[in-house]
Amino acid sequence: MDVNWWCSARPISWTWDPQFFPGIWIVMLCIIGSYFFLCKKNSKNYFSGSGEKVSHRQKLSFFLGWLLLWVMTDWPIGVLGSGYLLSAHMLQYVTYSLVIAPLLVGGVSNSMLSSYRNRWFVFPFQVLITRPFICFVTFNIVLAITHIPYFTDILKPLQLGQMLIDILWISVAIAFWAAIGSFDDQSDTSLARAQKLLYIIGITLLPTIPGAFFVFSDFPLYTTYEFATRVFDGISARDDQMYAGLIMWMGMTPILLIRLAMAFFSWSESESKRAGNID
Amino acid sequence: MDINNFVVNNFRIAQNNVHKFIFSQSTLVAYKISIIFWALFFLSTSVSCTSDSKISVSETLDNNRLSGIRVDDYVVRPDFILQDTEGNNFDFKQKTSGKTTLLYFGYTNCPDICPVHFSNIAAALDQSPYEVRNGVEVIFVSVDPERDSPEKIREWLDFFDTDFIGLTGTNRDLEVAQIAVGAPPAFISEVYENGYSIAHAAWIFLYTQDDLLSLKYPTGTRQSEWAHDLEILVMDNWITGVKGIKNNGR
Repeated sequence: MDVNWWCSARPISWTWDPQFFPGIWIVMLCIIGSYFFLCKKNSKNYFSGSGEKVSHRQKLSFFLGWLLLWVMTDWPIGVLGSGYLLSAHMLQYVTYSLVIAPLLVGGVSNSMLSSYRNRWFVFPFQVLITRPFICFVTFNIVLAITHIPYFTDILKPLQLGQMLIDILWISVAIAFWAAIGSFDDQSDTSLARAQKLLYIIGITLLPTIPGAFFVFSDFPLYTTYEFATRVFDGISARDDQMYAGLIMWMGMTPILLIRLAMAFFSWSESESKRAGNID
Repeated sequence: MDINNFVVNNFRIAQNNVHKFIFSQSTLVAYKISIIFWALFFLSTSVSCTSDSKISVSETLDNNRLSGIRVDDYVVRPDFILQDTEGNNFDFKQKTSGKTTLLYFGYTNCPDICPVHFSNIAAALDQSPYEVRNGVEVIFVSVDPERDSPEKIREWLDFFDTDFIGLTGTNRDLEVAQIAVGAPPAFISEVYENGYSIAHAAWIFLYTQDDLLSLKYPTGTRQSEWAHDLEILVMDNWITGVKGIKNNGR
């Protein structure tokens, strides 16, 4: 029997019949299982006097992030994004980067991960989170590679390729949000705050580049979506590409600008306090 | 402390910090690596966009590069009569003679190849200059007369472009037309509980203005390739025998 374990672009007509992808279910159950394991371990540490309690708010944040991650990765959005609609692909990217990742990051406390610090499976994340500029470069590389038509058209028809794209997106997005948080942990200097602002500005502007290509290109850029059967009557491959560009612009930029404004006002407030102390 | 001095000092400190940050070694390395990857992105998308953009006819004639596959033995525009969607007789040779013509055999219940082909041609023509749009005849011949009534064909084609011509006929007439063009006659390939699918030629046959079958376009021809080729074929009054056509190695 032909069982597909992960969403991928397939040369068949779109259907609204639900599909089951065992790989996605296994990964999702592993994620929530690991989280409850860490919570339980953390609560033991908490009652023994070390570590901090994971609040209900944090648990809710993680659960919502996890639920959205599943919704965005599995049928139907995952299937649409992998082979039928570029706009669904972009919706996945924007939701992974701006909604799911901060919810997941917000659901994990430092004490939950402290005993795993420097372990091989956490180390790459640790490097990204503690070195925001490596994170900046990685974010760029992942954004560029997963949107270069040549690579996308090669990766999308492969289940492993689509899985790689999904994992890269969510991993880099988690690192990006954790890195923003790590600026706050650094010393409260003008340099750290300036770095944070420039970091957010840099990351905010970058997605507008592929967004511009999608909106202004005369023809579809990706063969995967150009030759896919139409899901909705009246939405051509080029229309779909234009919507994808608009999702990239309208979804990504305002949310990051809000984050930028928050960082700026926090800086401004601390500078005012400092000025008050000096006077 | 004097407020002016405080502002100036803080501004200098901030300026100095930002300057240090912008020109620090790690930031420069980060930017350089980012630039390399974005250059890669620009390069690859520009390749797509270049093929999309209007290319001067003379430039392309020098290169002689068309996406369609050349037909080695020139076949003249065939002579067959079918019915159009108004129910009138349509003499293919007489009605299309001297025009760049795209001819396709398919059926409206086709789940994938037919709608994708027509959607791509319509989108390509939509982006082409008026002369090109006006100079190309697109003809769809339904090989499923049982299910495809003239009204249904018209409705299906109107979804892509109201100028596209739809034809149908009896099974015998359709077979004659397919053989005349050099396409294998279509047949029912699979029967389902509530319908059937038809195996048919997936090529689009292109007749040039000299009334020869010059090129065949397979499934997978991109919108940008259609726009590029049709512009050359229509705007330059392409004459197959004189210019000669080279395919692009497909």
